[in-house]
Amino acid sequence: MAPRPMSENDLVAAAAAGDEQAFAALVRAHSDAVFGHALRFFGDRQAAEDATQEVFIKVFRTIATFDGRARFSTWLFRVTRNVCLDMVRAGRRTPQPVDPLTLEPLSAADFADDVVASRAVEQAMGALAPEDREALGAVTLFGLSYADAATTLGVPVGTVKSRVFRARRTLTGIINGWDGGEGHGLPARH
Amino acid sequence: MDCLRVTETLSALRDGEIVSAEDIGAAHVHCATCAGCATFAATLKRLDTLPTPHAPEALVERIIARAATEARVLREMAAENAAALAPAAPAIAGAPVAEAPRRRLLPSRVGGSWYFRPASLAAAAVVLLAVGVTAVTLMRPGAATVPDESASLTGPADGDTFGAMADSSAPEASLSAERASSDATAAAPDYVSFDGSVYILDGPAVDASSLTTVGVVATSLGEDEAPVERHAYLSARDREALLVKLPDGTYLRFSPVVRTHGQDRFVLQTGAAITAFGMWPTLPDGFIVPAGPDGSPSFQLFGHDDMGVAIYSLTTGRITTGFAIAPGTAPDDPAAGNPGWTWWAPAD
Repeated sequence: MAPRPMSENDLVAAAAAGDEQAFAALVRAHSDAVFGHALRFFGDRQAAEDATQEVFIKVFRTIATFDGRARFSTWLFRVTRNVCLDMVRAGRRTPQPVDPLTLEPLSAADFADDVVASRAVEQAMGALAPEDREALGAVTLFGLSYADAATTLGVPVGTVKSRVFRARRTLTGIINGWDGGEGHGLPARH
Repeated sequence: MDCLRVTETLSALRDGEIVSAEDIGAAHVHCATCAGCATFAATLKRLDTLPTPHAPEALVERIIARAATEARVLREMAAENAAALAPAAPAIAGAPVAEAPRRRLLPSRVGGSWYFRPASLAAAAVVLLAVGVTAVTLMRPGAATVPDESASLTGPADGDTFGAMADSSAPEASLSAERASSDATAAAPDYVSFDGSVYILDGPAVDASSLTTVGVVATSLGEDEAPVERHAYLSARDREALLVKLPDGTYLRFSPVVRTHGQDRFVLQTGAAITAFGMWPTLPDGFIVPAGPDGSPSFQLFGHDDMGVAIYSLTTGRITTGFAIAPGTAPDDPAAGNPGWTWWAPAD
């Protein structure tokens, strides 16, 4: 019988006890989420790589203090968010915002192409309000529930829900070339 | 159901949030007749299928390699430290010691500003504290059998610090011992205590509006007189501060002395009230002052804070109620200069 794969809790416990393979498995499992968050935060690959490395080294040094009360991904999101913010506060990196007016809507053909569409969506992420992008990332990259994201971000659950929705609405608007402004991407009431 | 509610419902549905069957049905009915909402739904569905950013494989391997290297160096250092500890054992028992380090950086406060000055040395204390500094580096946080990084292994958070950290262990341990010895002679910063927490003087309060009285602080401040009870306030506009009212009606602003662990803030505590500037905080009542440099019998090594300083938990192995810091921290540490163990409680 093949050995049962370790659960995430098992991996965390093993990594905390000094198991380097377990830590490597955690890095492989979560590096995309951390890198994705950092890339969207900074809009710059090099900054995202620096942040990702810093996040995991910090996790390596402090994982023994992770008490398991929250999910590991929730804790990781918190560390990632703080590392990115600290890099900005320290003046080491500056987020590169994207002017939504410079973004072109996607044609149906482009939207059907994974590579082209993905690149366009990631570019459009830079045009989102930071708090909206952060909430969207918490939920879609790290898999946090609205409740967990709310706790981590220190806002009510309803605020997370609104931010995620607003992010999606804006992305949809950019992709489809809907009118900008307050109602960006939002179908009109009728 | 209008377009806004429909799109909100569709968004929450994508995230696995609980949505009533009635709302789902209504949203689908709405989308069948509303091109805008149908496009929104289709776009959401398509977004879910698109690849998200992928961390470069080289980056992932670099991180894993760096962690492995750090773990290996820590093990090697622990072994070296263990070997170095053996002949030093008599010093713990108070055996005479011949010579001590020569120069140190002692943070002292004169005229309200920090400066560094050379100081005389207390040889026995140096060695005793050096042993302490070294001893606490032996264990990995949370794992009794795995070695851990020493204070010298935790450099600044920015950049690739590992190489420099691994190379600087011996000089740093020596410097720590020097700091520890002379810090025993230093006066404390301008502290006051309130409700068991320690606050440090920032200066005159700029904004003393929207105040709430929270009690009194007994302190002589920097005056050569008996402690005086002074009203203390919290400010709605400056929630971090503790404001202390002076006889002339002005206020001094104090902020809590904090350190962070896992981004959580911990505030320096004191058992005995600090009634004058220059007094050091003590361990809270009920704590037994550690007899050994490893924190025993009161504490055990737990891990490191965000600045890489070793922290000690109660023997329960948890830090939910706080943690202790050994004397001998670096000059830029919030516990710098304190000749004794300090206790730090969660800020919230």
